[in-house]
Amino acid sequence: MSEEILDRQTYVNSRSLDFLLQELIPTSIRVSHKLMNSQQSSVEEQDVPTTIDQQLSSIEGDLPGTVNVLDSSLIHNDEVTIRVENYGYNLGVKIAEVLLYRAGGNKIVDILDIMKFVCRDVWKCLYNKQMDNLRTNHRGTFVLVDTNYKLISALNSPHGMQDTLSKAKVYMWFPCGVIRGILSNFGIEANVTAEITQFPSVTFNIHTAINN
Amino acid sequence: MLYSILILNKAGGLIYQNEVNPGLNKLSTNDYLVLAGSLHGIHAIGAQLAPNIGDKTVPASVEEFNRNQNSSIMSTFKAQSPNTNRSGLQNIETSLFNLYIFQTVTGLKFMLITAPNPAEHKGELNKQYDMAHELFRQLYMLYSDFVMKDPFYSLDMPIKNPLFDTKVRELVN
Amino acid sequence: MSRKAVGDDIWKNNVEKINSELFTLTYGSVVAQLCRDFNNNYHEVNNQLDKMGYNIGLRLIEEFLAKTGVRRCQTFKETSEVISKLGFKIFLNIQPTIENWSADGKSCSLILPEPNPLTEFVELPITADDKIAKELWYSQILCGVLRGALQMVQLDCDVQFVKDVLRGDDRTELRLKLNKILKDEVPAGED
Repeated sequence: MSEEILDRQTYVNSRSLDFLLQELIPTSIRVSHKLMNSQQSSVEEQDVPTTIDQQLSSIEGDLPGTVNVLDSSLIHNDEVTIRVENYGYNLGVKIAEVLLYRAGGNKIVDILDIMKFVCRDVWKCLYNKQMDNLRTNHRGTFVLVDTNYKLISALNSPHGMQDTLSKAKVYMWFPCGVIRGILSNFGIEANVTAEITQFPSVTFNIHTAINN
Repeated sequence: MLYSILILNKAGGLIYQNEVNPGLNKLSTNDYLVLAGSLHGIHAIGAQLAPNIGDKTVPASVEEFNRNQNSSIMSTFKAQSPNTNRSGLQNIETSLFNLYIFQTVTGLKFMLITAPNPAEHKGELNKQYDMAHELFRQLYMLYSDFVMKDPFYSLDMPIKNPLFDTKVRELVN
Repeated sequence: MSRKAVGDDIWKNNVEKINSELFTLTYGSVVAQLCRDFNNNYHEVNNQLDKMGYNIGLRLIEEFLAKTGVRRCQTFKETSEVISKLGFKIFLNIQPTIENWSADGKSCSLILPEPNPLTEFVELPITADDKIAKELWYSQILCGVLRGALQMVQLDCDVQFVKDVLRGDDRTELRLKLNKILKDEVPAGED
């Protein structure tokens, strides 16, 4: 092959990814709901196509096109947030390799370089912009700030800001998982959490065991 | 000059209303709902009143028009107008305002209320049509961008999205 | 890999593009997690993917119509052409072919090119679990997307996979069937 496989760059519409990510949280809630109520709901033995008038799960009001599933109390359940974080983690682990190959140039020597890699290359790939601020206490804790975080800047709940913020917290677990996955690819175990300091500015707190 | 924008869902319910520039009497929310419902009904009745009922050649030409537009899009890959409002009520011209109604294949209606035709064009409908039509296209794209991508938006429900409002204002000014 | 010829106005100018790997890997991690969650009950996985796709389709259709201006199709043949030439091109940057038309013109097969952004570099772990090749439809989300989008333009369709390269078949084939046109829901004023 004259061309390296990873050198070929193919593209898709960014909307396709946006739509997919938008569906992650409702799917996570439905899956958690189904697993928790496995005694009541039957185990599927065949493929059932979705139709417009059939409920997507036994959560109240969960019809296609509606967002009532997000009002379910499950949205704050640990099962759901862990699942969302896992989607991100799986993605992070795999994307680190690809991005590292494409980032080429800068050698990555220590953890600070890894964090810079996350702020620059990873964020650029995912959100078309770099992280706005990176701080560290040089004892393994890093704080990454994105002043206009794309995933939540478009969120707006009809029930008001409080509701928006509480739902946005669940969405934030996805990028936390991505970062944790990337670090784990480098062999670093980390604890990543996010807080919405001032909508739409978001802060990621990363705790690792490494002193730098 | 644009006075106001109304968006109706496929059932005729008002889902969005934005008074962009003052110029007409303010209506209460309830009045707007009634207005929207009435316009939805009148638009449909207009389709029945169209004078070419019974004219067998007309439906065929509509089909041909659609087919031609689709094949032109597929061969050139250039976008064309998404307005499908052909026999329903399209425009109203009065001395105080003009009203334009645009419809999409999914049944969404965009109604634009603009200032009346300037004096020298009185009696000539469609003078401002092109401007209104372009506005409709942009609005439809904003709708698909900001309303469809809002994970908290339920289909066919009223649009309460400050980001969408901001973008609409930007578009109009 | 060659790019499409000049004149691709919609794809070139009106579409924000991202690296397809990001999309491939995101979708892959979702499918893998679903398989783990449901303990390899692949019918459940197919159903969840279908639901996701359906919700996406309901919204994606507006974007499609707004960006292209496609009008109501007069025949199902036209509909399937629009889906393959415009729909798949604009969202996934692939162009499936259409074959196997039924005699009444109401059903056809869509052949997806391989590799495509959903399945590039993906391999099903058939050695670990051979049920997977008989029960999982990896790209089931596409069926949901098509069904949801067509529902919004008043077409009631069946969409299902019949063959999948990931399962070991020679090609990836979707069967599209028009059940009925929802005449009552067609908006007034179109003709």
